[in-house]
Amino acid sequence: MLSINRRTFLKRLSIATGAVIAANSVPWLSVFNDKTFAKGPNDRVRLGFIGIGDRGRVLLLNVLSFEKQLNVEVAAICDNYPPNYERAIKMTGGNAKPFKDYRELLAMKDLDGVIVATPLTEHAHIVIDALNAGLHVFCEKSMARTVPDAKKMYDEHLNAKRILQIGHQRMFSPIYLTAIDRIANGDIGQLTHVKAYWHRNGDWRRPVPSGHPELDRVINWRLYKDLSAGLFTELLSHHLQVACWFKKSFPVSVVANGGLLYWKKNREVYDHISCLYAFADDSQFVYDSINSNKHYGCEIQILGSKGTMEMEVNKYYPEEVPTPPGILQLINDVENGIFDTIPIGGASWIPETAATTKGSRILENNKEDESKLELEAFSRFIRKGSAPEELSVQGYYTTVWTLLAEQAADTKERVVMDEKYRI
Amino acid sequence: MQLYHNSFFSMGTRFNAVFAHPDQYTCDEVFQSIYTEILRIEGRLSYFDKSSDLSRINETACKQFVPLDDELFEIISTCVDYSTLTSGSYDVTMRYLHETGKTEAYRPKTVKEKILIDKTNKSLKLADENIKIDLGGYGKGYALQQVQKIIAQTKIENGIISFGESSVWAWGKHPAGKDWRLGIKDLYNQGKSVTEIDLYNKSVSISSNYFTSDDGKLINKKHIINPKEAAIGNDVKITAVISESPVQAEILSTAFMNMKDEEIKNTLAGFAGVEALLIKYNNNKAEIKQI
Repeated sequence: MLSINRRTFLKRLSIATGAVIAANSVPWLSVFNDKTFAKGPNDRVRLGFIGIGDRGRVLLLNVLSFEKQLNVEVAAICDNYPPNYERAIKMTGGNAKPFKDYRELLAMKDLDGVIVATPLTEHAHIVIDALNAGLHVFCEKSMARTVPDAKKMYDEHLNAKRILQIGHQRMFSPIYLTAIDRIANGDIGQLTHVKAYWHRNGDWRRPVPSGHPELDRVINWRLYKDLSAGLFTELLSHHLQVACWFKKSFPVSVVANGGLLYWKKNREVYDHISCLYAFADDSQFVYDSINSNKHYGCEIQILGSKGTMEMEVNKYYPEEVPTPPGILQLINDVENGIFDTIPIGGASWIPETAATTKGSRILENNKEDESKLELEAFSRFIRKGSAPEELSVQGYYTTVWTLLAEQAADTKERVVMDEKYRI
Repeated sequence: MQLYHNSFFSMGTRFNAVFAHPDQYTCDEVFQSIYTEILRIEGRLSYFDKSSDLSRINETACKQFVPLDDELFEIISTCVDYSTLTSGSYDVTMRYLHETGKTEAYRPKTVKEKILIDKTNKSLKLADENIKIDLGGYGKGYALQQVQKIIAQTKIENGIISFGESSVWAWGKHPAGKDWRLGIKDLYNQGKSVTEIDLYNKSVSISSNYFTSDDGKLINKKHIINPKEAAIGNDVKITAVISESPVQAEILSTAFMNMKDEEIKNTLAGFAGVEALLIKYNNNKAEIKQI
């Protein structure tokens, strides 16, 4: 059983057992061991928030929770939707400078970084403007609505020499990090297959204030194809990133299907999709997402020759059952042509812990919030002036392959990535 | 002779199959059928899985008669009948006492009084909300009975199945040419057997008030309660019943844990071809009695 104490966990992963892992799979963890920052205003990390809807609100709450502890300040907030704007002012107690136009926020002289959680089509130009303004950027996933936009964002981050961290929070989840550690230590044998699904039963539509139909596309942007790829960008991207991270590679091709099967009205994006990604080693990532049944919920299964991990429910199942000594002796006897007593009958065998037969937790007693950890890391990276490039690479390729899956579903063709998008 | 061996977890313990058959592909196909069938049975009969059919019965049958399908009707009817055949020593409704420990107010009732069966409509009702059916002393035997049916359809003529080491069925011959010879493990001397049983197309069920792990540790989970006295046995003993029917062996070995030697002898007289061993420990030494 593994139990978590935050400091020892991070230390264990980033320094002790994770020396190899940290270098290859989780280079972003070591930043948590940096305790050298000063508490004064000169060393304060000043952040601006652009887009404070549902997701932006969660991110803002997380940053507010560690402001003092990590010498971080939410210095500015921006949203052009009045209810979100007013709510953010209240959340920050009026201490953050409010804006309705992000360009005015970017013009502030003393910001270090921005957190962008706007609708998907707003990401590219805001992020590029922010990078050009010399700011470090945390941008919610997916990166962009189009592959060229994602490439421009990535290139601009290199040109500007500024951090571009994409919000794939599972990369900071202690459960996922422990799984990476355990897989490296052989707990599931060879990782051969990844399978994931995200099933919901609902139209995915948010209420629009009565008398304001013009706000529908603002509030329900996820349902309109010019604004979102729907289930691809909003749900698939989460698990695709995990699959690539765990497999230590990105796909080489994708085939996909999608359709509007159940929620046919007032919606342009598919309400059910399925994707099959192929990797260079001939392994696959299989995914489906639907909006008309919630029975199976959300899960990503990591399958290996010696065990299985169900990441969302934090479960590990060994493939092998401990063989009774009597059976081992029988097999040995038969191999040697010996007839002997099989010493097997007796009181019922039970495992040391019931978890052996029902699966055990990948990580016990996890109390850490992965979204909070990823933002804490962002503020620490800003202070350091850089972040591991792998964070940007994971975000970039995940977005590219998410959008290529949409293309595969639209065209009914197997899709490979154009080499001009390789980084 | 190449042996095929495979295993899985089910019913809180481990299931091991050994087939003495040259075609490993066929063996694997058969094993997959067995695996699927036993998971199906567990999904129906589990007391602990709140989505099982048994849990549904336990939840609803105290209020009204609940219709049963053929399989569940047969299973529960068998359990009720065996309660009568064992003079009440086999009782699948003792879970309440096990969970609550409320033995003071316990008033013995027959299983027929606690589980009301309507044979005409194939339905049952539980006498009150404290009555719950737990098929822990039945499930592995039933599973082995289903395995027998699967094996009968195949060309695998020799093999042995161990379900948690306490329920074993062997058919055909050991590859060295004789009956399968099973050692009954000594609870206090790891790796030693207190006695041996020859199995040829027979099963043995071994009951004890203790469980064991591979390192020989004995654990008393107080899971066997004498229905007549509401008493949990603490004395270290084992009952082993050998029968062609794994269900019969499973039920009788459980019932015999709650019976005196003479009662066991009288009960056994009603079952042709069934043998029983009673192993009692005194100062960690086994005393074996064949009945």
